[in-house]
Amino acid sequence: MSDREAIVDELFGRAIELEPASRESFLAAEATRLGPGLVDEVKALLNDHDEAEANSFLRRPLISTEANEPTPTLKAGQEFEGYQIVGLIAEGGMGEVYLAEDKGLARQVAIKVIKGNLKTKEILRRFQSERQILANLQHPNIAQLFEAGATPDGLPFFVMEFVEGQPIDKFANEHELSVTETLKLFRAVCSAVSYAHQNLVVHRDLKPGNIIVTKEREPKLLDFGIAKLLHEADAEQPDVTATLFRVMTPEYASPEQVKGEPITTATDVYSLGVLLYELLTGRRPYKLKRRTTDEITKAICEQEPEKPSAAVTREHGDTETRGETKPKSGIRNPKPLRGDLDNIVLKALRKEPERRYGSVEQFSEDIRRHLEGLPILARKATLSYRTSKFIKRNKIGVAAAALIFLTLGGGIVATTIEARRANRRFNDVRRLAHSVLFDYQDAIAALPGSTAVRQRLVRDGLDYLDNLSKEAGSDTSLLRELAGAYEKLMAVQGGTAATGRGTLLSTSNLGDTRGAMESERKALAIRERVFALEPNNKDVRKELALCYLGMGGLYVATGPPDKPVEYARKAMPTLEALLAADPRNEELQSYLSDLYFGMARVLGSPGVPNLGDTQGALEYATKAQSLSEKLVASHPTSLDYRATLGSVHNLLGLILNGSGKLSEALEHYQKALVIDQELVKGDPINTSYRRELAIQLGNVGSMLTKMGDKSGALENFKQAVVIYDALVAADPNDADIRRNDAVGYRNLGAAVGTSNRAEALAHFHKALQIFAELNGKDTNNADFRRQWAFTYLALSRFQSQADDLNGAVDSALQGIKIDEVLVAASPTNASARNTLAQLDGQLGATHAALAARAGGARQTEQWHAAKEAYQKSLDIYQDMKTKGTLSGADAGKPDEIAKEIARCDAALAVSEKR
Amino acid sequence: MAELPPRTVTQWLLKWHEGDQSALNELTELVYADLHRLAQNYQRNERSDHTLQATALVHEAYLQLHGLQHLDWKSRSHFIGVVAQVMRHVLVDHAREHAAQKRGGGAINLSLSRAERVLAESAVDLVALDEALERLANESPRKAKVVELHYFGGLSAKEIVEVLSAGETSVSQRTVESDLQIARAKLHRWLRDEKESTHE
Repeated sequence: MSDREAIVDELFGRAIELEPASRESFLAAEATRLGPGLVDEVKALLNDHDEAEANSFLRRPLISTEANEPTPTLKAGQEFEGYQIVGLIAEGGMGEVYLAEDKGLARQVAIKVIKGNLKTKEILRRFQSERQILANLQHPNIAQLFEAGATPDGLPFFVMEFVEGQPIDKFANEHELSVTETLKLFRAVCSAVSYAHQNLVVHRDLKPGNIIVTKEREPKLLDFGIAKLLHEADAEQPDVTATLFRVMTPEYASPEQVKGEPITTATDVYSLGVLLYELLTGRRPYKLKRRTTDEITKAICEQEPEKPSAAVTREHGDTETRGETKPKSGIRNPKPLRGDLDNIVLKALRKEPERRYGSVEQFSEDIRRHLEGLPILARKATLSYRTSKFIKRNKIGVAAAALIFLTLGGGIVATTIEARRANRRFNDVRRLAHSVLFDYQDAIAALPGSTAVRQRLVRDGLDYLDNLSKEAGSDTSLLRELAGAYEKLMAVQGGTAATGRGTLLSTSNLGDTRGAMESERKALAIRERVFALEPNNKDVRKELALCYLGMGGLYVATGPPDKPVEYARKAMPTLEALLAADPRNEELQSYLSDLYFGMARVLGSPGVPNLGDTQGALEYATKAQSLSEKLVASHPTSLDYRATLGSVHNLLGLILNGSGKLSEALEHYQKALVIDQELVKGDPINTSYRRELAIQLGNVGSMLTKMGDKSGALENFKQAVVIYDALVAADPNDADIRRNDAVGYRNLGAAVGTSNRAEALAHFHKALQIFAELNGKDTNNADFRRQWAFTYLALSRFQSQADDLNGAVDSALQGIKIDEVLVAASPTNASARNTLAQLDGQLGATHAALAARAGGARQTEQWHAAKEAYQKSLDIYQDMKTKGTLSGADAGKPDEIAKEIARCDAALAVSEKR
Repeated sequence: MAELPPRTVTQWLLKWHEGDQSALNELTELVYADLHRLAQNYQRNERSDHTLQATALVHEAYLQLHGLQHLDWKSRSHFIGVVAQVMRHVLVDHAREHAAQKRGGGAINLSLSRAERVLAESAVDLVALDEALERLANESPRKAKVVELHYFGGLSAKEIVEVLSAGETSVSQRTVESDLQIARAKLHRWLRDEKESTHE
């Protein structure tokens, strides 16, 4: 290396570290020291470097060395998660988009995946964030999310509406849209962006390539890859935004983006301004000599854009005029742009965010006013100033609050009469709470990954409801609406709402049992109050009955089981009377079917805290089955009714299994499995159906285990866990699905058993870890707790088989400790007691096995321990027998255990003789 | 899929390490032959996107080579250096053939402006890049090597430091980073000037 080269390298290395502004002075100083020749060389290098950077020249290696990563590139013709890949349609910095065939629904979809070699934490986070954002957005002008998930090897993906068309600039050019047509098209884009803003999402990368216009002239917004939830903007460090600048397209970036200042909705207003400028004039707003980062940054922050009407008359030949946006017919007519449109576009393009339009809606509204010949706002320059200030001050992460602001903001500022304002506010808040809790929940509930968003909606909705309740008085229609809102809330928080159709499916919920109880209690209090005011109103009676039903449903999860029975009995006479008066009423049939189903569960389903009344359970389950079959027969295409019937079969299987009628149980499970497979086929993106299918696979697996078909069982368990894992990956906040996932792993562990000890242990530990987390978060959930204890029981049994007797003792003790809490809290909980009896029995058996191996004093100790444990087990079984809660399958248990105790006594007698 | 016999590769590497210079030739030939075969396979079912194909090719090559993980870092670094070099040859050859085919088939000259071309094609003209790299190698061999390792070998600056120091050239990571920046600037300049002179 020559000395000269070394000096140039050294200078370059130091200059490149500096901000562009300080480079100048640094180099000027060096020039006086070293002479201008060397420094000029460095300057040229810096310039070329910036240009290379701006053009992404050799930025990324042609290849990646991460050879261990699976190559993510999907191939044409390949099957991927039930879709058939047609080909790659787009490739971005972090993701790839494929066109694929959705055979089930005979439609084309777009599938977005992360490039496998780019699975860094940051990119995964951004990918998740895009998915979350899309799940929350449903708008005709936004490409819709159909499904999100992860492949079995953990590659996240999502499936979206495939939008066929042209980028908006090309479309406008090729169709030679008039100014009016262009403005109308642009307003449709605005409506999508404005909708996103109402959902607190800022797109941040609005440009023609991300707005595709279909044949039907419908623009669709794509690529929320760098979009941001507004409330997250606070947490963002400035340097992250700085790096984002490189990710996004600089020409459409706003001054605040370039400078790394906070991003608000005003950022999208700006980008839309650039877009409109380009659509109207065929040019970009800034004159650039070179496309280097510095040049662009400078122009965006300093250059005042030329008026659109002046720009169209300018001579051609500027470098920023891109071939594809050049108007076909040469110079455009400046006349329609002069005045209003000049003002509108320039207002959107102001350097200071607070001087632009306060919202995209205002921007779009001004265009409408222009189209209709009304005076526009852009002339009164500062009207929106206060509004955007308000947004800035209140960058709260609260959906409802911001929504209120966005929908009412103008009203609050403008209305002068205090009383009118209050009244209007009340009604608006009521409407808002309604849409937050009902419309949005319904819209997003079935989408994977929506739990966190729903949680936030609930929290905010609840605040508003509580305030409204205080002001409701005795307005029964408002009271009923309020009660309905609380019930909805209950369903989201942790219950299963009785809503009539397909309600037996477990809708995904947030695992907050206590919160759900509170909401349902509030609802019940209101319903009882309304009933007192209008005792003869059929709807009021029905609603009260359903509320009892909902309350009972909540107690199913928390125990004790006599509570749900109590509530079910309160609801039953009303519903039966209403149905008797109107026997063809399918809604009532459906509710009653739900009620019988719930009754059957708490009476004797081993899957929940129950009263151990197997006979009663079978009776009600059969009633539910016949109502359900009626509904399916009259609605053969309804997936919901079919799903309900599947759940009833599942329950029957569960009860029969519990009473030892294995082949009958298997028959019902298999019927349910067939139904679930049909459902998933009929609606592949419905997570409830996939979840039910997995549950059924698990049930059939359990039956096959009991009946001795080990390999069949293993196969079913494996399939189940694959589905659960995918569901958990899609929505890690859904507590129920995680519970099922853990049960799946437990089954898998037991099925693998001693054929592969390490694998079996890993499955058990995974299950235990999930249960520990679930119980940590929701300490009141009896089911989570019992499942946790039961997993220790399964582990202990495995350890016994694997000849790790000391481990088996430890696990059994752990399980006992966990389960005893439940039994103490609710002594009537048969399933918790049954689990405890089994745990004690297992502990006894393990000590007995240890005794057989030990010698001397140790041996005596072990026999004593075994006897003690067996005795506890026997006590529980005998008490259950006395109370009539011992299930058929366990009828022989007391005698079995008594024999074991006799064996212990005999052994102890021998050792004492010595 | 063609198979690279890792054991043989390892043996040649060890020999090379023990000072047998001819082993490097064997090694290079071995890897080259294999990659070239892969390239041929790809060409047969060529799609329009050359870069994508080339990338896929190299991915697969690396997938095969990762069986060499048990080697100590020095051997691995050496080998990766070799692979990067080979990769460059294979890809450039491939690009050259591709270009020849295009011309032979009477490919249409794209009518986009010069600036537009530079912008629109994120993929670099590999043949021109190869020539520019030769020029850089005359001026500054280390910078050319750094680019080769980064762009064709997919190595990070840190890994490049390892490879270079395995070859007894000790440099800091900062130097490597600066080398890369300067090299990119120069290569970009030359490729741009080249384009301007041929298209105007």
